[in-house]
Parts: sequence; C-alpha cells; structure tokens
Amino acid sequence: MCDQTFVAITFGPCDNCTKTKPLMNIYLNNEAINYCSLCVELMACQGLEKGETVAKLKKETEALKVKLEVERAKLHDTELHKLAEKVEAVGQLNIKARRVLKGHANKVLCMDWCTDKRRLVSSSQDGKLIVWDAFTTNKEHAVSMPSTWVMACAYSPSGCAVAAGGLDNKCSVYPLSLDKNENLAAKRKPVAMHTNYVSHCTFTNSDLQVLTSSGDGTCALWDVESAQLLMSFHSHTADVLSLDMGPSETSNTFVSGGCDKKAKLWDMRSGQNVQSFETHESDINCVKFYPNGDAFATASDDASCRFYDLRADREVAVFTKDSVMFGASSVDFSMSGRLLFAGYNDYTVNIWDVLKAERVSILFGHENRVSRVRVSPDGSAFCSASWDNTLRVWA
Amino acid sequence: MTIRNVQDCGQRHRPRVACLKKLEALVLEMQDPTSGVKSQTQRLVITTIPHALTGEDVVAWIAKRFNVDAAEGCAIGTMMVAFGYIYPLRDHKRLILKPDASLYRFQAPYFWPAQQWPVEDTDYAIYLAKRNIRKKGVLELHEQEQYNNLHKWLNHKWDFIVMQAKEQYRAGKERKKPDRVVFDCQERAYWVVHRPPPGSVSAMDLGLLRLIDPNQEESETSDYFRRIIIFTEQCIMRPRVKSSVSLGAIVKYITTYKLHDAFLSPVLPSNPWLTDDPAYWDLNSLTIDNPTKMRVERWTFSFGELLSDPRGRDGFRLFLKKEFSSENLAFWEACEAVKWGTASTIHEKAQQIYKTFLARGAPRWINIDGKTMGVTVMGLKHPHRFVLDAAQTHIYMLMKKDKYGRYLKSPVYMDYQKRAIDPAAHKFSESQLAHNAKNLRPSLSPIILRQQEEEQQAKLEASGPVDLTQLCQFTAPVPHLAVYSGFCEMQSTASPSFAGLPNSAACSSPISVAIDSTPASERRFDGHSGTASHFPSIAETIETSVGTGEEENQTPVARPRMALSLSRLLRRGCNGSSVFASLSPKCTLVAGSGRVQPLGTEPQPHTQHRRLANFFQIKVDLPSECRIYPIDSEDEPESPGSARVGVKEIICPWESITK
Repeated sequence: MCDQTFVAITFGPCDNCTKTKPLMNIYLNNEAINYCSLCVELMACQGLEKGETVAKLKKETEALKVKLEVERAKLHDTELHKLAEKVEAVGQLNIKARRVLKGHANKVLCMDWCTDKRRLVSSSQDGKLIVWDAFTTNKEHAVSMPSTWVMACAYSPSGCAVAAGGLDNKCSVYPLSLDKNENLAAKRKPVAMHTNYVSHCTFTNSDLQVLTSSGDGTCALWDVESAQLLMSFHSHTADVLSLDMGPSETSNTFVSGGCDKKAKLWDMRSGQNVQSFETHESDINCVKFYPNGDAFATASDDASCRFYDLRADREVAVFTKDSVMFGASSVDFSMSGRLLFAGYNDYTVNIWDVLKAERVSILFGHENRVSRVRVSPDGSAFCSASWDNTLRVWA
Repeated sequence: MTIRNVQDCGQRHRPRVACLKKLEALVLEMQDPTSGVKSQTQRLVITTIPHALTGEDVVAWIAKRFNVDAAEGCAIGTMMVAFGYIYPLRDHKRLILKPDASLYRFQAPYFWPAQQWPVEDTDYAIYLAKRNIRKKGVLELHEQEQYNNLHKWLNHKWDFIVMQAKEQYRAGKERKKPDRVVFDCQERAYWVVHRPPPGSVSAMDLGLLRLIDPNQEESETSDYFRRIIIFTEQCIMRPRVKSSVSLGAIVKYITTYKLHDAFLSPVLPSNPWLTDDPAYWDLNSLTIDNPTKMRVERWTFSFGELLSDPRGRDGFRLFLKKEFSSENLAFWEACEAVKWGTASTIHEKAQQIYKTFLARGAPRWINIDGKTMGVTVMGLKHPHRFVLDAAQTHIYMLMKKDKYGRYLKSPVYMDYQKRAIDPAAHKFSESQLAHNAKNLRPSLSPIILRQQEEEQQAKLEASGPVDLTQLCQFTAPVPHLAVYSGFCEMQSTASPSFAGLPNSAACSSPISVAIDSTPASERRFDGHSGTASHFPSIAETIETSVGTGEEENQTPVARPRMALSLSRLLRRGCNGSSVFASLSPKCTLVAGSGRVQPLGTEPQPHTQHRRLANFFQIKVDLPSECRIYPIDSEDEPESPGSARVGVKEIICPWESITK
C-alpha cells in the first residue's frame, strides 16, 4: 500500500467536540480538520442556513466535482497502454477445465479458496454450503444453512473455519472439524447481523474478524468471538454487492462496490470513505484488489470491467469488447496481475490482458451464468462457480 | 389497474440488463434485407413459410459481424435464443443455437423480453387455456400443473380467462395457415422463455432482486448534497502521484512477477492441476525446511512479500537477532496481533506490549521517536485496534528502509539462496499422467496442520526460551538446548569449539545441574559484571559457531534421551509449576515468596525469545498481571544497568501503583 496512508492521525481529540475518538480527516474550505464521525454527520445534517437553498448546494456540488476532475487531470500524463507498448504480448494460453465439481442442487452463488491451495468452500441457492477438496473432487463437509440464497462464503486464513451468509441477513462462522459426519450446522456461530441480505463476506488477516457487505448499504467489521460490531462503514446509497480486503499486510483499507454504481475505498482505522470512483453505468457486481494493493478492478452489469489506480486516483483501463454484451459478475487477477479473469452472465469467462486492455482468451463450458471467479492462493489455477450447479477449476 | 408482479422482468430491470439494448440492435441488424442473415423457407407438409434461418448461417453472420471465431459466435447466438430474440422451430424447448442446418426464426418485437408490460400470470393462463382447447385437454405435465395452479389462484377471473382463450382461438382459426403457424410458434416460444419447463436454464432468471430500483431518482435534500460536498472537498485535497509513476509501478510489478505467474510461465516441477501430481505444493508448503529458489527469490521483491511468508519471516528474524534488533519484528508482530485479534483481549495485549516494548527500560525497548511514542502511550490509556498504528508504521518503515536491504545481503539470506532447491521439470508420459489422475491423494487437513503448528509452537516455547530454536529450525534438527541451560556461564567463557558441539551432554543429569548450579538469573549478572557490558550472551556464541560449523550441524543428530525427557517434563511443567519449584530449591532461597514461572504459559509468544539464562524465571513478588522478565544485555544495548532495574516492576503510566 502506498506510504501516504500512514500519515493521517486517526485517533485523538476531535476538533469540534474535543472528545477523543476515531477521527476522520476532512477538509473545509481547503483547510484540514480532524472531526469525529458524529460531528461530520451533524455537520452534514444541519438544516439550510439563511439564504441557502438546495439548488445552491447542488450547484456547489457540481462545481466541486468539476474542480476534482481538474485536479485529477493535472497529474494525468500518460496512459497504461502507452506504457505497456514495450511489454511483450501475452502468449497463447492453454487453459482448460481440469476439475468439475458437481454436488450442489441449485445455483452456486459464491466460492472461496482455502490457503492450502486445493480446498475450497462453495455456497448455493438451496442453502447448502459445501467444503471440497477440489484436487480430488471429494466433498469434505456439507452444511445446511438456515436460509436459501447463501450469497457469501469465505474460508478462514487458517483453514479451520468457514463463514457464510445470505438471505438470513446474518453471517455465520462454522468451525470445521476432522470428523466428516459431525453436524456442523449445530456449531453455527452467528457473527454478523445486518438489516438486509449479506452480499459478501471475508475474513481479515486472522480468523478472528469478519468483514461483511450487505444489501442494507453498509459494510461492517465484526469480532468473531463476541459477535460484536467493531466498526461500520456508511456511504453507499444502495445495496453493497462486493468488497475486497487490501492484499498487503500493512494496508488498513478495503474496497467495496454496489448498486449505486460507485466503487469506494475505505480506511479501516477511521471508518472513513477516502476515495470514490463513479465511472460505471450500472451496478458494480464485484471489486478486486490488484495484487500489490495500489489498484483494483471492478465488474459491472454494464458489461464492462474497469481498472482503477488508487495512487493516480482515476480509472486507467476499461475492458470492453463489441462481442461482450452481457454483464460481468466477478473478476480476479492472476498472480502477477497481468491477466484479469472475468465471469459473465453469458455463461463465459473472458480473460483480459490488463496492460493492453485486450481480451486474450474466452472460456466456454458453463451452461448458466458464472457467478464467481477466484484465483487460487498460489495462482496455479482459478475456479469458477456457476448457476449451472457446478464449479470448475481451470488451469 | 395493473398489479405489479414482483418477479416481473419488465422495464423496471432494463437499466440493469444492459445486454438487452445491444441484443435488440443486433437483431435489427440481422434482419436487414441486404446485409442481414440469409433467410430460408420452412416446408411444412404442403405449405412453405418464408423467413426461416439456419443455425449455421446465424453463427457465421455473428462471427463475421464481431470478427470472432465460430465458438464465440455460437455462444452469442445461444444467448439470443435464450432471451427469445430468435426461436428454434424444432426442439423448441431447448433454447440453444445449434450451428447446423436446423431452422430458427426471428421473434416478433411484440414478444421480445422487457417490453412495457410485465409478464402476467393472467396472460399465461389465457395461453394455457387456449392450448388446452386446441390440444383437447392434453397438455404437457408441467403445463398441466401450472394450469391447475393458475385455475386455483385466478379463480376469481377464470370465466374471463376462458372466454378470452376461446375468442383468441376462434380469431386464430380465421387467419391464413402460415400466419397462424408462425403466430402459434411465436407465442409458444415466448412462454418457453418466460415460463420455462422445470429443470431448464432460463435467461430471464435475474437472481435475487436488489433493493434499489435502478429507475429511482436519488432524493435531493440538503444533507445529500452536504455529504457530497464534504467528501469531494476531501477528495480534492487528496495527494496524488503522476500517472506515469503509479502506472509505471504496475508495469514493473507485472514484469517482476511474470515468472511467478502460473498462467504465463511454466511451474516447476509441474502444475498440480495439469499433471495431477502435488509435488509443487509439497515443495512449497509453508513449513518446509528448504524453500524453492522461486520462493526465496520472491522475498527480494518487496518487504511485504518477505513478511507474508512464514519461512521468509523466520530468516529475517534470525538476521535481526544477529543485529541485536529482533525486538522490531516482534513488536510489529505484536501490533498485528492487536489489530486483527479478538476484541476482548486488546486491553491485555496492549498492556503486554507496553511493558515489553514501550516502557522505559522495558526488556525489548523499541527505538521510536518521542512524538510517536507520546501519541502511542497516550492512546494506550484507551486501547483500540489501531492504537499502535503510528508506532507500528514507524518500525515497519525502519525495517523496510534499513534492515531489509541489509538482510538481502546478509549471510542468512545468502545461505537460504544457496540451499534453495531448484526442482527439475516433471516429464510425465501419457501413462504416468493417467496413473496420476487415477491416484489423487488427499492431503492433510488444514486443521491437522494447524494443530501440528500449535504443537510445534508449544514445543518451542517449552524447550527453551531461546532464539536458538529458530536458528536450529533454520540449519539443523533441533539439538535440545534445555540441557545447557544449567551451565551457560561455562559456555560463554569456553572456547568456540566447545560451543560447536551443542549436543554433547556434558552433565550427567539436567536436573542435577539445575540444582547444583546457582539460579540462572543470579549467575548471569555475575557473568556480566565480570565482562564488558556488551559481552555476547551464550545464544550469540552458539549462533556464530553454528554459522561457522555448518557442515557439522547439518548432519542430523540424535537427541540425547535426557534432553527429551526434560522437554517432556517441561511441557508437563506448563500445567503445574510446582514441579519446577521443587526441582530447583535454590529458587526459594533467592526469593522466599517468589515462585518459578512455568514456561509456555506466557500470553505473548513474541516475548519468548530470551536468553538461555532465563531458563528458570524467578519472579520477585510481582502480581501476575505485571509480569516482567529479567533482561539481558543483548536486548538492552543502551544501559546494562537498567536491566537490573527492569527486574523490579514496570508500571504502566495509567495504572495506579497499588494495583
């Protein structure tokens, strides 16, 4: 992660109420101030002052947005594909489906790899959660969830637990055991509680915290042991559909995307939304950090995938093609970040060359929408989950 | 009145289904009389109906239009069939495009998906009723089911439905035959798309409905704009870097990692998914002793990369130890544990960190500037997850900017490089591949690996509070060090050759040594008073000797039975500290009320790396929550005198002394 994120003081006395709280670093008339989130909220909600109208505020908003674009354009001196001209093209890829995992009775909605590079967990519309050894295609555990549409599932970093959630508005953690016949549903530990469906969940750098995004427009960080809310992240104005934790150990950031067509970067220390990108024309279905944590990619219903650079603070590549007409549901990067795997609603997986923004390959095989694409932790394969009830491992 | 069906796939969803607009444009293009798809005629017994298309023509047209290969053209065509823009004339229930001579026809725009009206059950009921009349009561099974259900649900207007159906049936009969056939097919195709037979894939299935209606205008209130203003102002002030710089970094990252990307470069020895041979994973397992060349190379890419690999971190830790600055890494790890740990233990951990790393004269005092220290210590009054962020960042940058570069040039890293294995590429024959595919072996469950790791950890903690354990992991099978703990004085003054034979059990029984010799802490201070303030402790002596006498140490050495039994004893000792107390009577002499601190029960694993001399920790009237360890010279380079002060007690500034 870029060093600049370290500078901010995130805890101390608020400039307004003087209480010691987590601080948001904001600017008023170009002057830096440190307000706590409550004071920021109060400031936002104060009524109209004398002589102030909504129309006037709207005008001011637009003027500021223009100014922001001007600022961004100042440092915009080159394009990614120009820099990449010297880099040699991606050679012929020979990617085939190496494993087909059959066992779900309905749409597979989500999957996640275990850190051991061969196990994975998948969740399905019929409320089942299955832990697979993808290498041998054996099922290791099957759990029945209390509701259908389990849209989120995640493997813990230690490989000893899985988390899942969906229409039950909760995200639950299931500790795994060695005994395959044990009823894991009995060991369910509800951790996160949202007011609407849980769209995505992930463990942070340990087994002890879970980060969730929800249809209620928030993201939240939860303590697994006590099931308490550690921090919530508000700013999206519609369903949040996806999030991704920064890959580097030193980063305290995550990125989220949702139905308000915005992708937002969050500082987990202050709970503040620090960057927002609004170039998509439709719902953002998936966000994924670039492996070095300085950029991220999005997949959207507008049939495009986009690539944003956080340090340059702008969109640097758009992955579209005439023949790709359907919404993209999920993206992930190969180990080096050169290839972007994107699952689409037209049952295909397209592989994009990130540097040249060209498509290098297309994979057929699924018979329904591809709901999720995830590259394995060592980058040796990627797995696609689909509404045709199967998962495929490609290499 | 229109009753909006929640599951409708009408206009309401149009903004989300971006493909529809594009598909509609494409269909119009295909129907162009000159540049469109060539049409055929369909022959039914005696009538011929024009404007039919063959699958292969459609595929060829699409492939030409988009300049793609036939497979992709076929996929696009299949989607058009699935959405009902083109419908099959035969095998009408399978909505796929076959790239052969089978016939298809364009759907009338009236029946395209996402028109102004939602798909209503009433319409479906009318259609089924009509079909029922025509087929004289013989509907397909699922249609029959639907029909009965609809009859139940729409009972209140069933008369209307039946009347409508009869009327439409009569009107249909009056049409010319080709028209009638075409219209029937169109209608049937429409309902196959919108009410698919069970078990078939439906493109109309949009999944779970999202809460926000895409057509809804955002409410424009003052706070809505104020929020945007606050946020935009913050965005404007945000520091940025030039595109060329940040994008250059991305290009560089890609070139650096190219050889490590399994999709772009061959994997050595082979990609397990391709050859069904898991050797690659075995060679790269987290706990393996000799990492591969590629893995060792990755540690040079970035400091984060080094820290994220447990093996890499081990080596770095060893290097820091030699540089007398291992507390930096330990502090960083402790901070990570606070950040990502359980909420309930934050308080405890923060105190532990304060006492170990931050307090004046703490055993592993870290070197950070006064301002950061001030901020951190202030924050520790009310610890939260990111309280140590400033200090942690400081230390991280210190390690990254200074230590990391030197580590990469150090003998520790060189040694890793030298020993790294470079597996040869597998060359499997067809039969071997088939054999591999049939004999897929399950792997150890991560749960077992975790247990092993924990056991290992516990063993390390029990076997000796010494840095040497890391060293031994790194070079040779662990010679059990507990044995020497009794006579570190002798070794520290002895010749290097003596220290180079770490597993020759010089004493007959470790227990007797413990009893005969003076308690470790006492002797240690004696030793130091007699030597220079920077006298290397025993750990360093052995470390260096191991470094020089590598050959000898690389041969696996059997552990003396005595050491094993002692280690077992020690592990048991974790449960009952009385064992130690009774074994080392001198302890009670030193401090009447003191008790022996059993090892391995410390909550902070990072504080375990202490000198041999601390083998038995003598506690002097300390309340258990203010545990502090005797300090030795290496960890305390500033003032050896303060080490002795440290033994007493460190009180956190926010704690009252009486506590």
